[in-house]
Amino acid sequence: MPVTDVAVIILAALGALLLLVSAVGTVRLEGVLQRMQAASVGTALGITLLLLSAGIHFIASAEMGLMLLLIVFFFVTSPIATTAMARAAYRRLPHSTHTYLMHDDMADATWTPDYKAREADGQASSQAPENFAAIGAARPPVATATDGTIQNPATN
Amino acid sequence: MFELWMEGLMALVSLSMAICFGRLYMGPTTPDRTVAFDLISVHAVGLLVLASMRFEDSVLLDAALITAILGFLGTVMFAHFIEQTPSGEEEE
Repeated sequence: MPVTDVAVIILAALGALLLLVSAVGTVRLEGVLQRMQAASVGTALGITLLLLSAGIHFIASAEMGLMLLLIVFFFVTSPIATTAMARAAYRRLPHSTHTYLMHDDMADATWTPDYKAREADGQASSQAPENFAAIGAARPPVATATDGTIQNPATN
Repeated sequence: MFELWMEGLMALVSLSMAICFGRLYMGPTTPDRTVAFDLISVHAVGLLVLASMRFEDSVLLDAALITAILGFLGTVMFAHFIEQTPSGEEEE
């Protein structure tokens, strides 16, 4: 077996295994955002290794350019698609389902789908900001010392 | 030998794709199904690439390019649809 075939097989096997890992993670993890993270593994690494192996295999017929184009395409489009999906899921799903989030910036926003239910349960604060700008204004101001250095409010 | 390896890897990617279809079937919410759709389109590209190596046919790589573009457009379209649809629990 030629050495290029061995390299192609190794790269393709690694790519296929990464695709399998991402598929299993998509099934096993809980919550949309965690599943999205598992899916990104396959989109970024698995398909890149598979395309690289195809480019090496067809290197005599100069298909490597098309494969590199596809790799660049995946690296450009997968963050765009993931960001669009994550934003839609974060805005449209009830925030009581995001229990796996360690920190939820919009936990008190009134536009979340289940705000009234969470307010009835006492989970949401009574002084909820109305929109994005109010959320920014409601944060505690950053304490600045006299010499102008920014100090961490959590430690003071 | 090389063909056998490619066939085995195609079987592996097919199994992985079947698992993704499981998430597409189970997924409790629409964003879950959108994630599964995105991953299934990626698996389709991988299968086409492996098939092009197995059958020594580089024409299938053009099909892989088209599949990648259509999968990306479908994912963005689904995300846009989710964001534009008011959630079922509470209308604004």
